[in-house]
Amino acid sequence: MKIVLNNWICKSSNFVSIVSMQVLIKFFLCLIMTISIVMMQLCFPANAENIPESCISSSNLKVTVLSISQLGLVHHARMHRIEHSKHKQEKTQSRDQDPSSRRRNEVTTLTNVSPDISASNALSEYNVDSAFSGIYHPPTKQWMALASEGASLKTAQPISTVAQFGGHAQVERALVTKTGLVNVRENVAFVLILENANTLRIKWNSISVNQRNFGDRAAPRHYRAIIMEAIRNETGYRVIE
Amino acid sequence: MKDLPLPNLLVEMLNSGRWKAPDDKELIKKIGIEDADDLSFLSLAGMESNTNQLRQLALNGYSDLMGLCSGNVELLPEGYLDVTKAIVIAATYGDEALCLDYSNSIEPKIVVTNNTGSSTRWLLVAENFEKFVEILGL
Repeated sequence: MKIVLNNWICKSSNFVSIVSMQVLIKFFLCLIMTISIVMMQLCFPANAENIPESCISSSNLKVTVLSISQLGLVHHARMHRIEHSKHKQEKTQSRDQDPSSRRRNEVTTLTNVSPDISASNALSEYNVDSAFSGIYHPPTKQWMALASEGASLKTAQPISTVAQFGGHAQVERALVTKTGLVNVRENVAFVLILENANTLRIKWNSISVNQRNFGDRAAPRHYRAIIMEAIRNETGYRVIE
Repeated sequence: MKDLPLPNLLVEMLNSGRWKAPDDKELIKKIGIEDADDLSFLSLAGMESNTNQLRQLALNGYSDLMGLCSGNVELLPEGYLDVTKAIVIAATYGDEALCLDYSNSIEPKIVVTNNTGSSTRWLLVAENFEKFVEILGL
């Protein structure tokens, strides 16, 4: 009986010491984690909302281990963001250092969707007879027109243009990219031709957009006045058919 | 153009500056172009960019609408153009075009877009480039 009791006491004390050790280990791990988290928050305060609360409050070992990897990811993401931001800044700086190339890209786009350069300023840089392929989205009243093949700047600097054949499909993609439009089936295509210093001639034919959306190469008549007004408002130019 | 040699006469006309739309718009309308005022006879670079766009359209879901096939067809449906064997040589802003069509031989035919209501198909304008030059009096 005595021997059995002694064995039991011995096992119990072993068990208690094992449990104590586990608790101690968990306590230290939590302590290290808490210190790490505080350090992370001090170093990268912007990411504080990304760190899960479980990292701080839970004493569960699995959650803690998971949290360590999460912290690593947060840190990695933060570092990546900093690198990306630096890269973007460098790119912007180099673009700004070459204002001529920046301007050449901006002047090829006429739009009422957050334009980099106003449509009237862009148009004033073009030679007469330059043409622009355009798309108008009736539900949002957003439109964009891109310089088409043959368009030329007064400075004779080269510019990128959309193709004459199928150019409306290229402009539609650009408008979708800029605005996030989902439904392109209501889009109306048009062409602007610079007639003189303050007049644009508008034409309405397109297979890739109008024929697809309305079964006719010509844009529906009921949209025409609205589109002409939108272009007149944005460019300040007289728009004639 | 890659794999598709331009007719010698076209190369000569490009080099000598003779490759330009005729002043007589009625002649252009006769070959099937509705927007005769807009028709541009393309430079070599223009041919390349418009031909690239033609190929993109075939890949991006415009095949039925614009009568385009992108190779790998045993029998080309009537009125369709195989974009891997075609070069755009003239175009309007409203998506009309004249193309060299090499689908049957090394000597290309000249075809033009033709609106059939809800879609577009391609019609023969001339059996060869010399005949095309003759029709337009270039």
